[in-house]
Amino acid sequence: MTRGTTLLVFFALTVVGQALTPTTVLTGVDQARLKAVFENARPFTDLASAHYSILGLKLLGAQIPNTQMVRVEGECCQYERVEDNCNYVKSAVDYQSPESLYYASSATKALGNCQLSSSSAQNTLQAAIKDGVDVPTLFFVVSALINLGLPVNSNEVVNALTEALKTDDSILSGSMALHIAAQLSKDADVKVIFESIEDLVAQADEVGEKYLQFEGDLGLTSFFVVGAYRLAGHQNKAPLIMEDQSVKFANYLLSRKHVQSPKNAYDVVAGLSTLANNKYHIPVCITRQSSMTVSSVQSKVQVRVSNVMSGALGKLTVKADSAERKEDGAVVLSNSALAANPRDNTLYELDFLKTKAGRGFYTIEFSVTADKPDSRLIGLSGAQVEVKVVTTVSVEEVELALEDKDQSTPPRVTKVQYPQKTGSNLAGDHHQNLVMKFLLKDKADNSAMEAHQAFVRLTNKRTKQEVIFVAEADDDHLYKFELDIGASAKEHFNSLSGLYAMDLVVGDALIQNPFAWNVADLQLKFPEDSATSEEKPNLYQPREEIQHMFREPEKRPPATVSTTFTALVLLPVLILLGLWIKLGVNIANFPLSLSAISFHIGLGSILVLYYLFFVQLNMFDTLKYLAILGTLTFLAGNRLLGSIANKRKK
Amino acid sequence: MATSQANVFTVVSKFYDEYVTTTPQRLKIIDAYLAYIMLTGIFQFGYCLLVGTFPFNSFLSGFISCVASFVLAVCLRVQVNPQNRKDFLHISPERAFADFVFAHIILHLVVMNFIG
Repeated sequence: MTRGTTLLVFFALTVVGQALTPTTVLTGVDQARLKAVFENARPFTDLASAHYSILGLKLLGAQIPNTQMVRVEGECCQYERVEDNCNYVKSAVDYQSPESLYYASSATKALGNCQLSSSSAQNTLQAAIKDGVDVPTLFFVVSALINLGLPVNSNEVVNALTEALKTDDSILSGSMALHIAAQLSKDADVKVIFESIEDLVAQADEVGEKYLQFEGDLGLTSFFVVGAYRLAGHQNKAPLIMEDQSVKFANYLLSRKHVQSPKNAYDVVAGLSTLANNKYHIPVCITRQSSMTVSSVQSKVQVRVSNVMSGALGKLTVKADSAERKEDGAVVLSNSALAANPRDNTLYELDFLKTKAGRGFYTIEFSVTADKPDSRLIGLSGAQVEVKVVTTVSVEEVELALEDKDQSTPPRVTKVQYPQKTGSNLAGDHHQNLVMKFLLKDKADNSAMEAHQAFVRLTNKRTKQEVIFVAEADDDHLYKFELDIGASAKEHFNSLSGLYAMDLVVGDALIQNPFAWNVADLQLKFPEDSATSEEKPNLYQPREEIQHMFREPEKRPPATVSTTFTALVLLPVLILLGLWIKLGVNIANFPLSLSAISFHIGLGSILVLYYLFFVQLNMFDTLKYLAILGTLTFLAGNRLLGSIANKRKK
Repeated sequence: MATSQANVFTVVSKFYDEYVTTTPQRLKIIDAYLAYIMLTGIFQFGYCLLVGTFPFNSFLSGFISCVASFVLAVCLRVQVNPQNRKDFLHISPERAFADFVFAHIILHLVVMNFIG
């Protein structure tokens, strides 16, 4: 244990060199927002949220609204004032549950003029301290007993707690143990629990060297912080939490200040209240209150020096240790004291322009000392604030020239003064280059400077089309813009000759007066042969209508060919008939019986049916008729062929 | 060479003479029918070669009708031929003819459906 402490002390000393300070603060706006979260928890839906809401408002020093509007049952949009807080708590409490009694008793204690029935509570609570009780129950019981002003047997509690902690080493239970110990009598033996603070802190997770938390859980972290400092105050001994660990806890709690539920809001407020008001560690926050821009109009940098709840810290001496320019690392001031604002004792001011710093982004580092030495204050050095110093720019030595590409004649140079315009229009055509030179000067120290945005914009006065070019500066910060009129005709100007307005556009983050200045009007003439059509086809106009082309019918042979072949195909029939006659087909032997005739008629009718099928009918109808005709034909045929067979046999 | 030519010619003429004398009349009728079917098929195919296969389904149905009719007629001829009596003891010529007619009815239904 001692070795561990030595190691910690060693680390503490090494860390002092890079002091850690809170990143932000719980501003008045944040506190108002959290107050609204508490107030909006009404009408209360359960005892826990009532508990958090009431306690939260009390911590913020706000008035707890006494009555609440409750919807009248069965009626839409009708509200009535019902049940003040005390009645709600008294009606919602469950006297058999230590947890419920804990919430109810804390709420009534905060309300002040509300009383629970202590006898029934006492029965439940004292019965709950028995063998094998777990840490959460013990926490609820002890807290409730203390809240209700009932007696607590400290030794019994300590024993039960030690016993319970043997099997339960979660961080929540460890934190609950701290709270329990802080409420016991002063002579209770809680040394072991006090020393467990160190072990618990070791289990916290650090994020980015700025935040320290337990398992990403706001409630757990806050509960631990409150418990640790409470016990430390109770024992009158500093908790074994390092200064920058304390600051990192504060950072974590501050990072969660945008929560929405009463419980989370209470966790944030409770944790930060503890860190704003305890006997050992009070992180000091420095936040910029003035605007980031420092200019001749507004030259003062104002900061607020407070605790994490934006509360005052007494009389302090605030110094700006250094102000470093981001661009080149130049340090423009050191060790300047800030003046305290007479009306608000948390505000301090520094006249930054007194340092004669040029334009740029600056990081100012502060350090704080208390007039009355207060060992509780931590994070006293290393706070940084960013400002930017802006300046006004002037443009000078502006020259416009149109020079011939072949350098045959010396260019005509026109000088212009800002904010005037050239007297007459300049005329240029595709044999020439347009050259413009100018110099940007920082008015504060009359030195040449460069700007982020130095553009030359040419706008066709008729079609309003714009072309923007970038002007580039050389090593002496002299800007030059060259335009080859012939070469750029197609790409930039679409070969549209005409009158163009030429504007110089200058802007920068560090310039107070960015401008767009119409320098001259140019009459540009482009070669005719590369002139494209007047309007580029507008992509957003309706296009030509596409006529649908139906599928062309296939090429057919001429009618004569088809007719010839039809005749040709029918020719073999004649040949067949001829052959049959030659062979002596025996038609005379046609039996004139019913079956014979009906058979032949049936066959014929089937052929007729097929023709109709081809022309008109569909398959289903055809099959229907075929069935009928087929049956008849079959019967007839059967008879006929049977008779022929018999005749043959005979 | 004259002899081979003469041989082919004599074979053909002898075949023709034998055919005319020994084939019963029924079969000759069927043979005439077969020749007719074949000619019709050839003409259809020639037309298709000449002008292309559009419309393909019509050509197919016509051509296949010829082919199928030819096949059915050959079957009829085989079954009716008295010389094949031993192979078709249970099928009388009338039965063969009835099958022929039945098959044709179905064939022509399908052909009419497919001819479009």
